[in-house]
This record gives sequence, structure tokens and C-alpha cells, in this order.
Amino acid sequence: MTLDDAATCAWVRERVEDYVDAPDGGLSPLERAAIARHSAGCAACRAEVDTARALLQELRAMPEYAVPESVIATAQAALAEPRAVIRLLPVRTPSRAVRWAPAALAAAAVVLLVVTARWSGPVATEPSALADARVERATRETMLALSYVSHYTRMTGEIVAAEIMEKRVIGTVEKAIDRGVIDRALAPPLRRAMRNSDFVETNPARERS
Amino acid sequence: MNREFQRLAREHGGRIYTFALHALRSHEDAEDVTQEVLVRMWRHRENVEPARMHAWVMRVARNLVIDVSRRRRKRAAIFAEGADVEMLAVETPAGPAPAHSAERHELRSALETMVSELDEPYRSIVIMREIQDRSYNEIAEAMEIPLGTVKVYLHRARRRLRERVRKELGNDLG
Repeated sequence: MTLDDAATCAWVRERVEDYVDAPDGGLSPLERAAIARHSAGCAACRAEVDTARALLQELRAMPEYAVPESVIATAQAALAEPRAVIRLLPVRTPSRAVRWAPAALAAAAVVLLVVTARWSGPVATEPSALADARVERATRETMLALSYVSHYTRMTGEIVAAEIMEKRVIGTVEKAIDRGVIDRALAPPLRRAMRNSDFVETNPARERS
Repeated sequence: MNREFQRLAREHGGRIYTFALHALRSHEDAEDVTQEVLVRMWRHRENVEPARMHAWVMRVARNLVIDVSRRRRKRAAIFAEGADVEMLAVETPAGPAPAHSAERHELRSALETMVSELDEPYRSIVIMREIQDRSYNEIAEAMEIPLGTVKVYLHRARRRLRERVRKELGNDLG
């Protein structure tokens, strides 16, 4: 392959998508003719053109879907529910207090863990049965704390979005693990507890249905 | 409210659901996104010009899809120890003539995965333009970017897909 050939291949490949796009892909007749001429004699470029053409056909043949009736019904049910969350709370509380409540609960969960974890000394020095019992207890306590967080999320509906919960709850706990505030031995059960807790993926509308 | 809501939901729901399903490859997530968009659409319907409603719902849908993708990535990082995100195979709907061979079905599935794994904004543009056949203007409005930028992104997205197809599927597709 000469330098000229390589340059032509590069020029063609830069325009392959436009070339296969109907009707003219923004290329001039001259450009189209040049690409056709080149790809007729260059197997590699012809393969690129064929792939681009087949790709476009496949994409355009991909299915469109009708919205499932169950989705409409659930959305309708969600709309029928009064947006009770905010009304249940004192008028002045929603913004700051509600936004930070999960963080406070997460902090409480962390404190609970730390207290539980530190109560009976480092894991390494304990008999394994005792260490297991301590991990189990801490996990149980954490699950309890997280269930409060989850419940709070449901109560507050859209105000406490999953995004906030993730940043402040999972983030807080992860930082505590990173910094050694929470014993690393507790990290796996704690992560499992968070993963299994529905607060991670709370969808208020869905839960109301 | 019932009849009007259902009319609007049917008018926009399919488009939202198709977009979310191709982007997320999970029926459950696509349903959640669609449901949330429909709820928001109804609550904000009086603030949105009817002529701009299509673009508005697609913008909301896209934002929610990006949120879900971001959450998946975060969870993947946090729960690196185990499989956290279930990427479900999206079933091809029962059509009148399912003439695809198993091999073809696999190719289609591989391609759908590649589309869903494109980075933003390429993923959204490919789905809206190539799969949903939306005009450049509609896409520009939905994504709040200039028309020229849509074309540039689409060109890059197609090229990325072609390069990945060549790399992973060789000549199987074309």
C-alpha cells in the first residue's frame, strides 16, 4: 500500500457513514463516485462500507414498543394518590430538614455500627464465634437503621430522591469504611445489607402503586 | 382525568418506553422511567406548549435514563464484589413473521447491547435517530443542543458503532 492509497483509505473511511446514509448523506456526487471507485478496488474499505450499510439497516429495523398498559395504570394510580408526603410534614420543614434527614439517619447507623464494633475490641483478637456474633449483631442493627431510612424515603416521596439517598447514605457509610471508622470486617455484610435494602432503588411512584 | 391521561400516555408512552428500553436493556427500568415521565408529564402539562410536548417528554426521559445509568455505575463501583446490575436480554416482541434465525437473533442482541453501551450523548442520538426515526430538529430540541451538533454526534456515534462491530463481530454483520 502506497502513501496515496493509505490517505485515500483514510479519506474514504471518514465518509463511510455519510456514504451509506440515504439519500445522499450530505456528500457531493463527485465524492460518492470517488468512494464507489475506491471501494470497488479496496477490499478493506469495501468491508467497512458493507458493515456500515448493514449496521444502519439493522439499527433501523430495531423494534419500537407500545407502552405496557400496566405502566399507564400504575402511573395513573400514582397520580390519583394525594401528594401526601409534603402535607404530612410541617410546612417549614421540607427543604433543608427533609434533605438532610437521611444523612442524619445514615450517621446514626454509622454511630451504631461503630459503637457495636468497638464494644468488644478488634475482631482479630476475638474467638471467631464471638467475632461472628458481633458482625451479625452489627448487621442486624444496621438493617434496622436502614429500614428507618427506607421508611423515611417512602414517606417523603419525591423529596428524597434515590440520588440523595445514595450520595448521603451509601457515601457516608463507604467513607466510614474507607477511613476505618467502621471495621473492615463489617464491610461485606454492611454492603450486602445496603444492597438488599430497597432504599437504594426507591421509586416513590412505584411503591405507591 | 382518566380519559385525557390515557390519551396522552398512549400518545407519548410508546416513544418513551422504546427509548428507555433500548438505552437501559431492562424492562423493569424502562417501565419505571416511563411511569415517572408520564406522571411528570401530567403534572406539568399546563406549563408545556402542546407542540413542544414530544421534545419535553423525551428530554425528561433522557434525563431519567441518564440517572439510572449513573446509579448503575455507582452501584457497580460500590458493590464490586458481586453482580449488581442485571442486564436483561430484551425479548423481541412477537411479530407476524419472526424469520430471524438464532444466529441473527444473537447478532441483533449483540448490536442492541452495543447501542446501550454507547456513551452519552451518542446513545440517545442513535436511539432517537436510527431506531425511532426522529428528525434532527426534534432531537436537537429534546437534547437542547444545536442542529449541527446533533449531526456531528450522530456521525461519531455511527462510526464508533461500526468500529466496535468490526472489532467484535468481524464480517458477521456486513
